Amino acid sequence: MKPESLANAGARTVLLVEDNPTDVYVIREVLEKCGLNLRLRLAGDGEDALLYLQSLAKTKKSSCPALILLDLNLPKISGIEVLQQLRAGSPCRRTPVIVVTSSTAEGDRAAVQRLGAEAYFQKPKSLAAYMQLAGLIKRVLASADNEI
Amino acid sequence: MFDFRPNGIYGKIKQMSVAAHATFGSGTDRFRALYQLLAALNRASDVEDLYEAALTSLLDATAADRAAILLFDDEGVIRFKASRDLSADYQTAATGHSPWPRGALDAHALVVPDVLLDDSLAAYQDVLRQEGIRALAFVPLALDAGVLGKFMLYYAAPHECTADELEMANAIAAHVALATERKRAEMERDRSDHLLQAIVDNSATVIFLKDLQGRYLLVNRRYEELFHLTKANVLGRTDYDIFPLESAGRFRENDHAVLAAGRPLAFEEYAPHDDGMHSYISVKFPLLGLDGSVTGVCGIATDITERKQLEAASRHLAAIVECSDDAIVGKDLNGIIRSWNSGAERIFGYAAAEVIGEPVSILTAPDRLDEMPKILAKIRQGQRVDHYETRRRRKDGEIIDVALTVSPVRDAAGEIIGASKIARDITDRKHAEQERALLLSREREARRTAELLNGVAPRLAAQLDLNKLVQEVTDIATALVGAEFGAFLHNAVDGNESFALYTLSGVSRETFAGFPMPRKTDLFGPTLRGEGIVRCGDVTQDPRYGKIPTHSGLAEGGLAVRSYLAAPVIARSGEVLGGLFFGHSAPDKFTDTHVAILAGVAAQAAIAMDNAYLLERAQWVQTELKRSNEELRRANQDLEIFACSASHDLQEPLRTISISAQIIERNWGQRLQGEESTFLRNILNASNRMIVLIEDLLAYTKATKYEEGPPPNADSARVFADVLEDMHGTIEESGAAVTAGELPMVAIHESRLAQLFQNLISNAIKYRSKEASRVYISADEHDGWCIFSVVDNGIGIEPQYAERIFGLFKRLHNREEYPGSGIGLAICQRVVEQYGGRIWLERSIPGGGSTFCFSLPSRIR
Repeated sequence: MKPESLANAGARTVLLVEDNPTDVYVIREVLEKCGLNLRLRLAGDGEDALLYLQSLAKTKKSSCPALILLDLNLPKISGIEVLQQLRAGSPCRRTPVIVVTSSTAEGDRAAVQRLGAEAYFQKPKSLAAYMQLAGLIKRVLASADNEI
Repeated sequence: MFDFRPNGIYGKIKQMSVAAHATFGSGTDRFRALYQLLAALNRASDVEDLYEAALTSLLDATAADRAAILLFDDEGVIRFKASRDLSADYQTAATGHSPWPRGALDAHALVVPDVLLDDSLAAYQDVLRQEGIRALAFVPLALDAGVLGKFMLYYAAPHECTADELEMANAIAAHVALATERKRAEMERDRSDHLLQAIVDNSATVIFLKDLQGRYLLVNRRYEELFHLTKANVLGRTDYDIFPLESAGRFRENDHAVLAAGRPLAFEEYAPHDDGMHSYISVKFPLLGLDGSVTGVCGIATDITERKQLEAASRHLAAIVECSDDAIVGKDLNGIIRSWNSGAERIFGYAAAEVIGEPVSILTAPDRLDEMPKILAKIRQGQRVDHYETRRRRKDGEIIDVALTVSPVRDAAGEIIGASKIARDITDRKHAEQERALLLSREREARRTAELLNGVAPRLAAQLDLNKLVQEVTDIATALVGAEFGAFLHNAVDGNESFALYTLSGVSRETFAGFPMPRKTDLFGPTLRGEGIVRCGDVTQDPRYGKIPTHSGLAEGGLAVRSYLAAPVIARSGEVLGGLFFGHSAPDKFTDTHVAILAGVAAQAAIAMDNAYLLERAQWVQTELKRSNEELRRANQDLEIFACSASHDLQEPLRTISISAQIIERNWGQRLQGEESTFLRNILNASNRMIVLIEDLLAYTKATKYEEGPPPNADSARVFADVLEDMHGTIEESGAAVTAGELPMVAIHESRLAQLFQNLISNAIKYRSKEASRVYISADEHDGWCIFSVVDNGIGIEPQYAERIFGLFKRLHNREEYPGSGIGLAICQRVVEQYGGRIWLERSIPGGGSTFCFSLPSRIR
């Protein structure tokens, strides 16, 4: 499929797992900036995210989100655990994941890479830098489309 | 008839030859016999040969049947020397019979034609008949000195001797006598030559003969031995062939002097020997020939080397005697002074001339009158008086102490002929001795005390348990001072005027139970205030005693104290640890020595207690240290974890604030007015600043993180190069020139050194003046430390801020001018201090640049 025909086929879902409203606000802008007709589905914590993904499995496999944007520092179930469970056996285990976090810990970065996240984006201090997340999302989505 | 009395042997032969010619002019047989005799006599090697030749000649030249030769012996008895065909019996019987006495000057030949008819031989009739002798003739053997023997001619039948026969016999006798005499003289000469040679050879002196040319004619055995030569090697040679040129020249010179003088001369000559040059007295005299002319030089040389050495030694001894500080006096057995050296003049005040010949008793001190006769009596018995200390009187009457050594003096034969006396003035010494004896007794006392204390020291030093130590001190001290009981009381720490009983010795602890502890009263106070040792012969007589409130109690308890001794125990710090107290129920038990001992024990106890305290303290400190180290490690770990999580947890809301503010600014910034905009700006700035602060805080925490293990060696030149590369962007952008001199190896982790360089270089660049920044790093090594200098041409620092700049988050400039949180130098300081080093602002002129220095340990070799 070609990208231009995608827009016509209806909005694709991006699951954002994030508890900070400011980040949600900014990422929503980022997705709009992508101009890819992306629809945001928000999960406020890790548990919410996992429940949502499990509910999808009961319906259709094809309803898996096109992309998951995952924060690590989350209430209830941490982002690392979410990633782990997703990759371990979820029907959406092939869904690309971009970890969006403020963590600078080397350990987090290594764990995320080991668990097969597609990209790691450290939340910047400046708004302008934050907007660069759009480019990353587009690259990951394009790469995922090529695989299909 | 022959005249046998010519005036000399040679003359006699001459006469005889003439006579022989006259008599035997035509008788060739006789002439031949005589010639044969002469030849035989000349050939004869000894007298026996002479006699045999004579007998042969007699029997040939006469009609005799038998013949004999008899000579007088030294006793004048005529004896057979040689014979032909005579029995031993006859010889025995005829021995001693001579018609002439020995030495008779007018002897003539006698003929007995028939023995039977001759009365003079009546006594020998039987012997003659038995031997078969009928006729005989006596022919004298004579020289100038008279008859020396006889020829006997024997005939078996009566025989009348012819004149020819007798003349022939006389002629033979003359020749034989002459030959015999000549032989005897020859033998005599041989014997005397031999004797002379023996004398010469056995002489201990060197004897030699030289001819006029100096060639050796004779040397004796001594000569051969001394110069390791044989006669064969020496004879015919000169001194120049044998001795070194110098010696030979001298010898020859002396020889010439003797030849010139024509009389004996004595010289001192020197000849090389195996053990060096020897001195000789050489007596040399001219050697005269038979005609009285000088034919050579004879020398007799005596080795006087030893004698010369003895003379020198003797002169040396005499000088020693003269120079001696001691008086050395010689006296004879009657006590008369015979010699007197300068030492004697000095000590006794008499000049030698005054006393020589005087009796030695002039020196006698009035209280020692009987002493000298006793000494002289000993000397006469050959005994010696050694180091005899006595008194003597000087010329000026002063009595002095002297030490005498008197020895008998013997002559060469060993006879005692006098005495030598050596006297030393010991007046000063005597005085010093008394002084010393006093000192010695004091020293002995001190030494005994010291020995006692020395025994104490190791016992105390070995005891590091404080309680046991104090008990030991108390026990030892109680025993050493001979107290009935002793106690160590220690200063109460509660500040009250009392003190606590620590240990007791000699009495049970119960004795003290129930009694109040003594207070710092007049008696105990000085001890516990460390004012010194208190001794009291009898406390019941001491006015201070009555004031002790415990007096009655102690007395009732059986501790009736009269002798009292106490010493403070003072620590090195000056703190009075307590006091040692001793008591005895009898008065005056404690002596000066006890005081000295106690002072020593108290000092030792103080040292030992100090040590024990120190050990306790050290042990406590060690435990405490271990515990606090552990705590510190845990705290550090916590802090690190905290810092990491804090930086995240703090940063997260900050970031949210910042992002939120940025959204407001971006979306609604245009609509904000006046102060609204300012406050939003403030929020943005503050949150950004805080983000930087938190980042720096994290960096600082990491910088102070403890590095495990000893610091490795870092190549500071390489680290510097790496830092330059890392900072390439900043340096290039600012147009700075960063250079370094030769940089050494230092004992530090490389990453830490990099932090130091980075912070200091970036500071230098950040705080640059208007001109392009220049930074120069150099290092200097000494005493195991490397001192790095970082010199810049920046804005400099006001001197009053030299310390402050190292403080955490300390800044001297506002943010707009020079951004930064002020963490750089604080990090540098923490890093440097971790390695035991120091960082400081070496030099800074506001507007004229700064020099920062830091020290690090040199590389570990």
